[in-house]
Amino acid sequence: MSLSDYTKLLRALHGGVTPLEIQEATGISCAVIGEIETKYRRVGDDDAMLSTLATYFGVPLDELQRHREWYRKRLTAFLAEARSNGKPIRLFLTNGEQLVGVVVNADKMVIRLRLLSKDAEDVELMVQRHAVDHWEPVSSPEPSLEQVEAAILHDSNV
Amino acid sequence: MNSLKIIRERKKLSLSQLAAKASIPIHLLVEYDEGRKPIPQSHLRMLAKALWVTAEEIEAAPLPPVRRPSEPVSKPAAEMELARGPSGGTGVPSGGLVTSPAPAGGWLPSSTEGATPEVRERSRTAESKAKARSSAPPSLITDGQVNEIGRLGGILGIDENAIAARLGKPPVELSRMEARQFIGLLRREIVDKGLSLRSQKSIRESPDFEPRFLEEQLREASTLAFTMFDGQKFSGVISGFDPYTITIKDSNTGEEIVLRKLAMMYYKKVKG
Repeated sequence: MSLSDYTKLLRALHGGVTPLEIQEATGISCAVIGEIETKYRRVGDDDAMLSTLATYFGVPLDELQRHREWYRKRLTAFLAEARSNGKPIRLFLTNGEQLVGVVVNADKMVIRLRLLSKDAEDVELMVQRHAVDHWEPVSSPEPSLEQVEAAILHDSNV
Repeated sequence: MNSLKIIRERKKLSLSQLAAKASIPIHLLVEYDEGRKPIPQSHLRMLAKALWVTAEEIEAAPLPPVRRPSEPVSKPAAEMELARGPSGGTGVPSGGLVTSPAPAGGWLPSSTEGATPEVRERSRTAESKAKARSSAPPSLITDGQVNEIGRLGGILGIDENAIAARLGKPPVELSRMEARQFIGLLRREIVDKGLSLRSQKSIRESPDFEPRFLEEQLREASTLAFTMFDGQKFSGVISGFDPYTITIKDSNTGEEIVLRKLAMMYYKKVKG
């Protein structure tokens, strides 16, 4: 999840506080909040400002810094590459769930992901972009449940 | 000649805005602004009040533009040098233009004779700033400039060592001005070679396909299954959608439920 989405989420979780109210409480200008929330590129370079924002929202600074690195353009570039080379990816969702699959399509709102697992053959999910926390390429498809069980059995026998 | 236009522009006010603020007809204000008509005292007071300046400041002749030493002398300015007064200094002619490059103190007027105290004060401040600029060591290259040199070098296929060899020193040792010039040089080379200044093709987000997908599901009366942020699950036949919501007829209760996309993690089409 980008810093943009995360800031919006934090505002929502704090009773829908407005950028103007944040400005009055912290001195961080509305324009800065606006930039963080609207830009697709990496924003929020100013750690002192992020620290003030983190204190205001009561979250750790490194949480904001982490989200800063998973910006929207980075996801767009990653999805475009994954779609063109057809290689599987792993999406880590904000609820802790992980999805492994091949990108069929991606637009401004959703990622159409064909899941890769024996049970989920031909299942396509429409994953909301804002639900994606972070992501990574997958070198090989996720092993099936049978393969994992076989490996555990093998290990226990050894 | 008055300073109305300069003050108005400095305050970022349009003619119509100032006319409204000062309660002066716009056609008169245009004439005052362009110096075609002297400003009567009554209007001067109103303008001074609207602009938060003194009437004297508006009446004062405009200050010459301050130029940086690095700026080239434009032809008209060079021509003006020929028409310079007998003092031979970097004086300001009555027209208010800087007439020749100031050797050490920057591009500032040395004479403010006959100017109002406010004008003289502003001039002194500008002079001291220029002196500070000229005596300060040259600014070092910025991080952005270092990155830009690296990026442009990448487009040209020149590595860091080759760049340093061309410069005779590593890019980090350049001054800001030198870096600016070198960046300009690299950009011209890229353009001359017919390459793109962009290091990578910009990636645009694909046009929205979700509405098409949902329309198709609506036509087929498909059943969709949703997983929400809070872990709730819903499934039902889609009965409508808009950019922010999807409406379904719940499989269990038959009720219509409007699901907000913002609250969704993902959804899928249920087969069979």
